[in-house]
Amino acid sequence: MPKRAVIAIVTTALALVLLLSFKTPDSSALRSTGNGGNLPAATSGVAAGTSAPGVAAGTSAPGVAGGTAAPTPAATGQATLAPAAGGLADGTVMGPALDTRFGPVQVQVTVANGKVTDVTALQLPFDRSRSAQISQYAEPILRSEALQAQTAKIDLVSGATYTSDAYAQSLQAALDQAHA
Amino acid sequence: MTFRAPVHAASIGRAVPLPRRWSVRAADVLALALGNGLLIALMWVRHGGPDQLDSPAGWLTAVGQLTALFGTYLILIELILMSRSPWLDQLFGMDRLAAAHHWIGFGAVWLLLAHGVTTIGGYGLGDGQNAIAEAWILATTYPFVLWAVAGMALFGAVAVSSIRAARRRVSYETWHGIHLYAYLAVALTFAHQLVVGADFSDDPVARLYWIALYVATAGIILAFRFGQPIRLSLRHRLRVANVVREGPGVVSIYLAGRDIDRLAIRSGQYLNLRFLTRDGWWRGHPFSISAAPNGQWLRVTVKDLGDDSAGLQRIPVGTRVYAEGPYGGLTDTRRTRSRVLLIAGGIGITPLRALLEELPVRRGEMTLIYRARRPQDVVFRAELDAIARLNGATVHYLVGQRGTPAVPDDPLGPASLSSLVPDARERDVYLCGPEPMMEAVRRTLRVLGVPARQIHSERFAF
Repeated sequence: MPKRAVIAIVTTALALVLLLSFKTPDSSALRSTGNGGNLPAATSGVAAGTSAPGVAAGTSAPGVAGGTAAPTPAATGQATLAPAAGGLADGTVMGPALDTRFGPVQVQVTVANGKVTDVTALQLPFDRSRSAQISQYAEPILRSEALQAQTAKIDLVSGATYTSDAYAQSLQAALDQAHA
Repeated sequence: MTFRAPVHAASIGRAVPLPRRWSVRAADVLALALGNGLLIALMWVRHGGPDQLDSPAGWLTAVGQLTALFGTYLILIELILMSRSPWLDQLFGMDRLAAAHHWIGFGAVWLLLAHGVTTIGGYGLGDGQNAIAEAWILATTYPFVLWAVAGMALFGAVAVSSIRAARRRVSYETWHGIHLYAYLAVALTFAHQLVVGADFSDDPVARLYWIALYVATAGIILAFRFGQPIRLSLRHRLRVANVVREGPGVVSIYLAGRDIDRLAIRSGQYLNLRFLTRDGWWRGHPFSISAAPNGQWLRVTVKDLGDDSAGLQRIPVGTRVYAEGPYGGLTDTRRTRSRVLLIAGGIGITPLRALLEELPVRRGEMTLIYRARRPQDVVFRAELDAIARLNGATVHYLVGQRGTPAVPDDPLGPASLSSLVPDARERDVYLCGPEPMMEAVRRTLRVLGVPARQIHSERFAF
C-alpha cells in the first residue's frame, strides 16, 4: 500500500476524533439558556415561581393564589383578580395550555391598573432543536405585539405560525378570564 | 503444480456447476425503488410538510426537507447499485449499474447540497438571521449537524473527483480511495437526520422505517461485497498455479484451488482479483476468464496496460488470490438465437475465447471476428483454430493497420462485416474490445439491422 494511502487513513482518523469530540449544547441546556434567559420574568410572584416552561403546566393553583395583593381571595384557583378601570381585573391570569403539532403553548398575563403589563410564556414547543429555535425568536415578538395591542389580536410571526396561533388563543382565554 | 491449456481445450468435459439464476425481474426492482420513494413522499405529507407552504421561509424549509429525504434515499440506492448484488448484476450488468451510479450520484449530491442551502435559507428567513449567521447557528447548536456538514464536504469531494475532467487527471487508485470516503459521509450524516429531521424526531414509526432502510442497505453491502468473496476465498483458497506468456506484454495466469470444480462460473464472466502480494493486496481488478471452466483450473489473461497490470507479468507462482465474483452477463444466458457472432478487439478476445469454447452451437453456426492492430497482438491463435476445428466455428482474423491489403478501410464497417457474415441479423452478437471499437461495431450492427436485444457487450470500466 502506498505511503499516501497510509497518510490519508491516519489523517482521517485524527480528523474524525476531533469531529466526534465536538459537542453541541444539548437540548436541556438550550431550553434553559434559550428560553429561561430570554423570557421576561413577570413582576408578580406567580410568574417568578413558574418561569421554567414545560414545568409550569399543571401546577398552577397554589403558587398563583399566593400572588398579588388581591382584595378577594382566589376566585377560580387559576387567577387572582381585582376589578379595575379598564375592565380587566388586576393580577395574574393563566391561559390554557394548547397543543400544537410541535408541543404545548401556554401564556400567563399580568394585569396592573387594568392594563396588560406583561405576558409570560409558560410553555412553548421545545421538543426538538428547531422548535426551540423558533420559540426562542418568536416569543419576544409575540410578547411585544400583545403588550402593544392590549388584546389577543396579534400578527402571526412568520415561520412560527402554529406557535403564534396557539399563543394568541391562550392569551385570548386569559384575557377573557381577567374580564370576568 | 503447473498448468498449461491443452491446445484442444474444448475436448475437456465441463464439470463445473453453473452460477445460480435468480427469478427477480427488472420490474420488481423498479417497483421496490419507486414504492419506497412514494412512501417517503407520503410520510412527508403525513407529517404536515405541505402545511409549511404558507410563507417563503416555510417554502424553503419544505424544499430543504424534501431534498434531504430524496437525496439520502438516492445515496442509499447508490450504495446498493455498487453492492455487487448478484440480482442486480444478472438484471442489468455491472457496467450499466456503474453508469447509473455515476449519474444518480451527481443527482444525489446536488439534492443534498440544495438541502443545506434551502435549510439555511428557510431557518434564517424565519429567525431573521443572515445566511452565514444561520449556518453557524445550525452547525454549532443543532445536534450532529456539524458531523453532517463534514459528511456533505466528503460527498462533495467524491462528486468532484468523479467529474470527467478531474477523473482523467487522477489515477484509478486515488479516485477509488476518495470514493471510499462516501461510506464515512453516509455514517456522519446519519445521526442528524434522526435528531433534527422533522420527519423522524418525533415519529417512532418513521424513525424505525428510516433505520430499516439503512440496515437493509448495510446488509446487502456486507453480504455481497464482503461475505460472498470471503466465503469463496476461504472455500477455494485460490493460488497462482502457472504464468504463461501469450504474446508481447500478455500473460495468462492459471488459478488453482481446493474444490475448484465446485466454483460456479460461466464462460464470459469475470472475477475481481486481488493478488495477495506486498504491493498487490489492496487493489482488485476485473479479469474475464479466458478459457471455459474445466474443473481443474481457471485462467485469466492479462495485458500490460502500463498500470499495475505490468506487475502481474511476473507474479510468482503460489501467490494467494482473493477473488470476488463471478460477475457479468456476457454469457450463454443472454442467447436468443441459435446462430452466434463473436466480435473481439485486441485483448477483448479473453471472454470471447471462453465463449467460443463453451457456447453450445451446431457446426457452422458460430463465427468469431478477431480484430488486432499487429500480428503479434493476436493471442490464442492455436487454441482458437483448434476449438474451431472441433465445433465447426469459423474464425476471421482482421490483423494490421487499416488500408493495408489484408484489412479493408473500415474492417468493422457494414460492408466488411456483411461480406464476412451475411446473416448477422439472424445472430446473437457478443462484443468485447476497447470502447471506441465497440461503439463503432454497435453502429455497424444498427446499420445492418441487428436488433438491440441480440447485441451483448460489457465494459470493464469501473
